[in-house]
Order: sequence, then C-alpha cells, then structure tokens
Amino acid sequence: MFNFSALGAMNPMGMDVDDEIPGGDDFQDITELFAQASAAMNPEEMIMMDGFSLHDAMSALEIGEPRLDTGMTVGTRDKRPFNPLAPLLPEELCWIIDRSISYEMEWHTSNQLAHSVFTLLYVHHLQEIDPDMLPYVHLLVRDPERPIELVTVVLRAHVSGLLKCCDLAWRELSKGGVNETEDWQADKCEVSLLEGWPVKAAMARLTDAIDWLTRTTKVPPQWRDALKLRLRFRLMLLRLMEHNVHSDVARFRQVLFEAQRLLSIMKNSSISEPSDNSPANAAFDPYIARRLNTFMPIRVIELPTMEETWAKLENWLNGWEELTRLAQIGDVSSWDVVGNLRNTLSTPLRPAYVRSSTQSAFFDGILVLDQYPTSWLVSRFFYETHGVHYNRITMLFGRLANEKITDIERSIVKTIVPHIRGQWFNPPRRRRHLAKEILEWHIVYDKLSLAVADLDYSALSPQDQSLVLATSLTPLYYRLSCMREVLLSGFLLELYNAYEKDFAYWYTAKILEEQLDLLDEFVSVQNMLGLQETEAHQELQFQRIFLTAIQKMCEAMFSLLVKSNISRPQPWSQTRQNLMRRYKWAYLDRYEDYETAAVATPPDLRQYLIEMSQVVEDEWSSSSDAFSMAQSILADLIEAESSKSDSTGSACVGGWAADWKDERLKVLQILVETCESLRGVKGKSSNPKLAWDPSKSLWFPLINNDQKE
Amino acid sequence: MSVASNPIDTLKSLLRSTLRITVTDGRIFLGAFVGTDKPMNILLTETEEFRLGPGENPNGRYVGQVMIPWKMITKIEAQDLVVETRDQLNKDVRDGYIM
Repeated sequence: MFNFSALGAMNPMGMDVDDEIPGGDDFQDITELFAQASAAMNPEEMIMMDGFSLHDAMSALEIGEPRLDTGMTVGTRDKRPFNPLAPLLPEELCWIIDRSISYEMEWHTSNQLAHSVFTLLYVHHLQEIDPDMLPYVHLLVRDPERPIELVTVVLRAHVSGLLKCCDLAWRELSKGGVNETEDWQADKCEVSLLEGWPVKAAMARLTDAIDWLTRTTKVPPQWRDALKLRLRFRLMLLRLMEHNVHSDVARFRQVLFEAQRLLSIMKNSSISEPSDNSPANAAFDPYIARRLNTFMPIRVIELPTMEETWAKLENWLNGWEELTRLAQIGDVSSWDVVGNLRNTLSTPLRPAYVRSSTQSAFFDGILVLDQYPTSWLVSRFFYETHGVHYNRITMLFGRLANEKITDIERSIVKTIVPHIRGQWFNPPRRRRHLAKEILEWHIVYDKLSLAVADLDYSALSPQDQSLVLATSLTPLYYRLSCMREVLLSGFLLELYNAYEKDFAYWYTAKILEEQLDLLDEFVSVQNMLGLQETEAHQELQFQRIFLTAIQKMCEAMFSLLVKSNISRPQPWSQTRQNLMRRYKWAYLDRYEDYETAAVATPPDLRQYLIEMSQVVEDEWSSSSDAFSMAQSILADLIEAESSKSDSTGSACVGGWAADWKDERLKVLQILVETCESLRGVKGKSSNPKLAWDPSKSLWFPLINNDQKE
Repeated sequence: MSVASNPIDTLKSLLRSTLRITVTDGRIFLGAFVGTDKPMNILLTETEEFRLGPGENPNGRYVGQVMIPWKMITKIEAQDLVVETRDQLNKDVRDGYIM
C-alpha cells in the first residue's frame, strides 16, 4: 500500500521528521552551466541524447502546465494539516462516512478513484489508525466526547469496508462487460484496495465495530445508532457484492431488502456540516492526486448533495433488485425486453457495476444463467419466437448434415450472447453494438436460408413446411428489430439534425413494414399449429399491434416533416452522401459475401425521393388522421390489458415482458399522449413547432402548446 | 566545478546522467538528462518527483518523462562523481591524452 508519512502530522507525539534531500548530498549546483550554455546556443539548436528524437520529446509532461502537471500546486490553497489520529465527534465521523459514500458513488459515475474515493485521506493511513500499532496511544489527549475508538475501530472498519467494496467492484468492472474510460475508470494509482485481504476479514472488522458501538457508553445513543446504521449498510453491500446472484437467490434478496431498508433510514436522516475548526474538514484532500502515481490531470469533483447520493445508491440497489428478478426468469426474451425497456424509458442509467453484473449473470463465459450450456440458447431462440420446441424443428431438419446444424447453432449463440449482454452497455455503445449486429444476424439468416433450401419438402406436411419456412426467417426478424432499434435509439440519443429526421422516420417505417409482414407470417403459422395459448404467440401479437402503431406514427412524422421542410439547405448529392455516412451499417460491402440477398438494406433512396414528392403533392391525406389511428390502436391495447379479467382474449401486453408489463404499458401510455399532442397538426399549411424530448415522448416530438392551432 | 571553455560541450557530456532539479513550487525532480534547447526547456526521463515537508510523500512518485521549462527552475544539480569525471575527461581531451 502507498504509505504516506503521517509523522509530520503526528509531531505532537514528539517524533522527529526525517527530511533527507532526495538523491543524497553528493550533488553540486550546475545552474550556471545551463545559463551559459543557453547563451552560447544558436536559436534553433538542440542538445539531445543519441537515439532521442524531437518526436520522443513531444510525449514529455510539461511541468508547470496545470492541465498536464498533476503535482503542481495551483494558487494558495488552504491546506489543513491532516492527523489521522485526531479524535472526532461521532457526528463528525458520520459526516465523513456520508461524504466518502458520495465520493464512492462518484467513482461509480465514471470518475477517477484519485479524484473520488482516494481523496479520503484515511485510505492512505489505515496502518496509522490500527489500534494494535499504536504504542503511544496513551499519550493522545483523552477527550470523553471524542473517544479514540471512533477512529481506530469505527472509522477504520468503514474505510476497510469501503476499499473492499471498491476492490470487488473493480474486479467485476474489469471483466470487460463495460468499457474502461467510458463507463468506469480503472486507475488505482498504485493505492491498495485491500486486494489481498479476504472479504470475510472486512466483514469481521465491520461486525466488531458494530459490536463495540452496541456495547459502548462513550457515544450518545442517537449517534451510536447512526454509525451502526452506516456500518451495517456497508456490511450488506459487501455481502451483496461478494455473492453471485445465482448462488442463493432467496438469501441475496433478503440481504438486498435489508440494504434497501437501511438506505431508506439513512435517507431520512440529515447530518450537519462540521464546524470550521473541526479536524473532519481535513479528512478529504481533493488534490490528493498530486501525490499519487497518476498522470491524469487533477479534477476537483463537485460533490452532489446527499439526496443525490442516496438517489444514486437507490438506483444501484434497484438495479440489483431487477437483476435478482431477471436471474429467476429463464426466458431469454424477457432479458431482451427488459434491456430494451431500460433503454427506452428515461430512467437513470444503472451504474456500470450493475450493468456489468447483469451481463455476468446472463453469461459468465461458460454457462448461461449459471446453469445452462450455450446450446440451450438455440432452443430458447426458436421456442420463444414460435412457441415450438427445438426438438420438433431439429426433427424437420433431420436430413441436414450434422455439421451444418452445428454451424448454424454456433452462429446463433455467437450472436445472441453479445446481443443480450449489449443491452446493458451504455446507450451510445449499445447503439453501435446493435449496428454491428445487423450483419451478424444476416449471416445467421443466410446460413439458415441455404440449409432450408437444401431440404426435401416432399416428405413434410403443409404445416411442417410452413414451420420450416418460418424458422428460416427467425434471424431476419431479430435483424429487423436491431435495425429498428438503431434508428429509433438515434432519437433517444438526439443524434439526428433537423434535416435527417424525416429520412429516419421513413426508413423506420420501411423496416417496420418488412417486420410486420414477417409477423403476419409467423402468427399465421402459429394459428395453423394451434399455438395461440403460448407466450410466444402473445408476444408476437403484441409486437404486431404495437409496431403497426409505430409504423403509422413514423409514416405520419415523415409526411409532417417533409411538408414543413420543403426547402432543404443542401443539394441531393450532399444529402445522399450524408445519409450513406450516417447509415454506413446498411451499405457494408460484406453483404456481397453472402448468397442470400439482404432485406431492407441498403435503403432505397430512389423510393425515398419518390415518396417525398408524393407527400408534397398529396393534399388529401393528413398526418393528424394517422396519429389518431395510431392512438386508437395503442389505446385499444392498453384497454384490452386493463379489462383482461373480462376474458376478452385480446390482451397481449404481457408476452415475454413478465414482471415488466407495467413498464411496457408506460411506454404505450407515453405514445398515446404523444399521438394526442401530434394530432393537433391540422392541414398542409400548418408549420407546427415540434420539440423532441426523449424523456417526455420517446422517439417522437410533441407540439408546443402555444403553437397548436 | 570548473566550467569548460565550451559550455555546450560540457552540457552534452552530462547527457544520460542524473540531474536534480528544484522548481519554484518546491518540488524536486530526479531524472536522467536527455536533452534541452536554447530556451533551456530541460527534458528528463525516468523521473521521480519529490515534495518535502510534513504530510508529504517521502518516497517520491514516478512521473516518467518530463519537460521542465527554465522559468520554473530554481536550481539544477548534477552528481559530484559525474561532474568530476566529465571535468577530468575534458581535461584529458584538452591535454591530448584522449583523442
């Protein structure tokens, strides 16, 4: 561990400070030589060691440049001396603990450890506050209001628990599910996170501190309880982080609920700031990075309020709760639905740790959901789409060579695993991943289509023939879903400029048209096979109705934007170039490597131009009517779900959404409200003021009320 | 130390040797001298940074390759042994013992 000398701060204890000059005494001053050499040198002349070039010199850190020189002291800082053994009042200790939790959450919000957790100076002085290492403890001033055990027992336990939590988080984050420097910062600056120390030891230290607080009479009861609460919360966090969510779900949930309960109590208590002369003020040094082994420029983090910190912790625990629910569900589609919902609804992004743990819980590199081999994913892939068991499909494929089937299965696994894990990437990274995945799905589609083309259909019943054909189209359905998600998530990420939006809606509508055709085919096969009672059928029915409404909305938005954007600032050639750059995933040359023609890529730009001119000339059709129709479709879906008890038989919002049905309904409700707003557009001449705000209306704009006619 | 007739040559002879440079904010850098230019921006590699005083890190921290501008420098020092060896070397060259 990086060990700063606390001796300076411990001078009251009468110990000497050893200020030896680094390098020793056998140095002599040559400043004058440099001054003389400078005067003698020509303006462009340089003196360089052999093999050292100007290019090498460019990578040097410039001392005195505040953006690069982390060690530089900027301005005159009020630097309070830090004494790790300074006795603290219990309320001061509570304040330090809460503040350190805030810094911990800042690390989980993609800040550097050196700018967050490591600013707590006790992190660097754990040895000095070890009661077993304090031979001079009797010399310390005894203050009945400030028992030294608060530092040596309680604070030490908290700091140990905090570091161990960071260590466990670091291990999870470094598994590769989330991106270092984007989602989290790995630089430990050679400071120990107690890596070699068992989690159980940290737990034992916390338990000992809780026991001491329970027994002691030195701390007033209100502060005793407040401190115990914080230590118990840390203990729960350690237990949660130590355990695999699959190992004992019931126990995991129990610990999680306890952590949530403790958090709710902490949220309702407020700790006042320490007085100006309190030693607690010296416990944090935002400039600590000056003294650590790091090249990162110093950034002083503005700490959020405690309310914001608790909210971040709550989001973390809620993410864990969602994970425990997901871990109990063995349906891959439910994972997909939840991932999509998380990215659609404007809920705060889960911390990288939770997103990484969710990915690990789905696939740990060997097993899926900690119990299934990857081949299980193939059977779920077909079963969850068509409601037909994979055995039946393999029987139909029975005449195909085994290696062909194995190759297809391998391709499916290779695509599904990153697809589900990718739902817990950060939103821009997720979008990029989905864009790459579009080709992967085409490869699976190509292999399956070629395999099916080789089959002898004469021996199959008409039903089985339909099933085989539907099966071969399954990857295409997922591919189109990816394309739709890439296009629509562009609105959530506010990627498109004003002149790109009409194309995005037009292209989405075209993709949805293809996907709805597929859904019709799948549903008719299910009807033929009598699979109406399956969740797969319910899901396809939901998608069919939902996507019909989205398609109507996209078409209406295209029409609305084209009519209001008649004069474009760029010539078509420029627009075309921009579109080809924006949709480069649709123009990949690699599609030429496969026999099967790609569906819906690249977009038919000629058709886009034709439809644009048709819209401009069309005086009869109205966007408002299309939004009304979409609204009525979505409202019927919500209505059917709410009156499900009447056994209308048309309720299908559940599908694979499982426990997340209410969130699906929330999406529908937002879209109904959006349609309500957008149907306010009347006639061709209107030029409505549209405002895109993903937090309010997802992929579509709302009309500003004052602009409504 | 005796400064040679050509200070540039003396400076060149110090390349690769360890310099100790003190800067205006009190820090001390210890690193291998690899180059400089006319404005005396001094390049050091394998550098360690030290900060003296209570509560500071006496073990130093590794900062790698740094460029210290002349305006930041208060003192430059070289190891006696290196300086003496270089002086002797210069003297030997002048005296014709070494060609």
